[in-house]
Amino acid sequence: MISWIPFLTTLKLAFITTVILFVISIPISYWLTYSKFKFKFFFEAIVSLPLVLPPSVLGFYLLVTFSSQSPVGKFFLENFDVSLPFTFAGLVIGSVIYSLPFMVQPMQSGFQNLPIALKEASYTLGKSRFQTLIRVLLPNIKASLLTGIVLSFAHTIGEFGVVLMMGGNLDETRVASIAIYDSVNKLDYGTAHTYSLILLVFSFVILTAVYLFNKKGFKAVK
Amino acid sequence: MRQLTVIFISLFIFSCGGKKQEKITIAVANNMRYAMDVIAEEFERIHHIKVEVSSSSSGTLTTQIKQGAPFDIFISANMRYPNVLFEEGFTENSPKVYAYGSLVLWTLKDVSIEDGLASLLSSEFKKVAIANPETAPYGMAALEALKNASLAEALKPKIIWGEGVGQINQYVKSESVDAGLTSKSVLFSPKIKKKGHSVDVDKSLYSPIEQGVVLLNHGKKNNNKNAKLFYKFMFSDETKTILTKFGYDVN
Repeated sequence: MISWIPFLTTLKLAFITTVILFVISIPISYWLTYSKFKFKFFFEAIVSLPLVLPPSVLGFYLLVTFSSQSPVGKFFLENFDVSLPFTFAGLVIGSVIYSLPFMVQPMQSGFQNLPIALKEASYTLGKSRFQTLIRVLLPNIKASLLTGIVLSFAHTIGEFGVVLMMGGNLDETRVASIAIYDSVNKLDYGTAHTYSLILLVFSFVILTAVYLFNKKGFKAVK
Repeated sequence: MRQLTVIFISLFIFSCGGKKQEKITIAVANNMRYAMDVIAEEFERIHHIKVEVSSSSSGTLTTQIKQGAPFDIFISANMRYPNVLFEEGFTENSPKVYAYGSLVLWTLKDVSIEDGLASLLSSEFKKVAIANPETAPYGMAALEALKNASLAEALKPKIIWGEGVGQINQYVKSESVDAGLTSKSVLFSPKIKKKGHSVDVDKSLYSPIEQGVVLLNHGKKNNNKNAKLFYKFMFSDETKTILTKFGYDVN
């Protein structure tokens, strides 16, 4: 009895998370690269925290913070009528935080590797900061952007601990990795094998495609 | 990008389908999930209301309910957790016992376990899995039984502590351990069908495992009619028949 819904939920979650991350990570990584702010290292550490923090810690904090009993949870509930724990919206927020470094770090290193002359030349030619970012800087770090997109997407697909804590194993929040855990719990190893194999093949195909594309596509760009 | 958008939108529409149907969401303790699948099916057949089951250990479910999980009904493996929720005001009524669980000794090894718990002293059994007595009702009962049988000390080096009966069952099934003390219901699950050997642990050795059900505030507020219907159904003859089939005592 294989249900495809957990895979669709996973893909939906990974897709939305990646889009949000892409948009918010551009200003974050831009700021982290070019800012002269003295305490920048502090924010770099915060962005990288999800890399080292156990997902259960993150999941626990998110659960408690967004709980309908907490001030933050109450605020969301009263003003936007959304409850974040145990809903898809909550998973999206959790995943965005969880995968943030996987988008920011490639972008940041992309920016750092660009010769500063590129930016200065653009300014000299009368382009604004925003125009320079969109027309000059970003097109020159395409490979880093792709790496960021793929890593965040893949990392969200592999997410487990945060979802387990925040998702509550409901139809709406049962992603593929949770479905596997659930069928193992049910002693239904057949289903667990099928799910796992699909996930394995899927991840492998994505990564292969990316490496292939990276090799062919970006040599041409460069 | 446009192709991706199309894929995404179709995914979204597809996964949103069928949301309108009436449904009820139930939090179920791990040991009950096998029986619950059958009970839920029966309920859906009779009342045409979809039953969504979320299962985990009773302790985890209790935490999630406290944090506002959208469960209408909580079916626990004990009375302690539902009572905590009741005292803290998360429930509509006080919890009620719907069944008594039975503890079994279960092994996939081809060894006689007719002596009950004392068979575990044999050198055939090197690892014996028991659920965490601090959080899992069946772990508590298992430890109590071992103590009352004066075996706890002797078996101590062999014991592997698992999270809950869910994990104990996995350990036994995958033969990572030689035997486990678990809920009798696992023997009746569709994937097990009495595989291996099992023997009931003498009921005089442990306090009755009272399994409680409670109607949660979430159910009362958002889904009163259906939640009440299901709550009642837990005490119906149909449910009692199913529970008995899965090795629970209902009287």
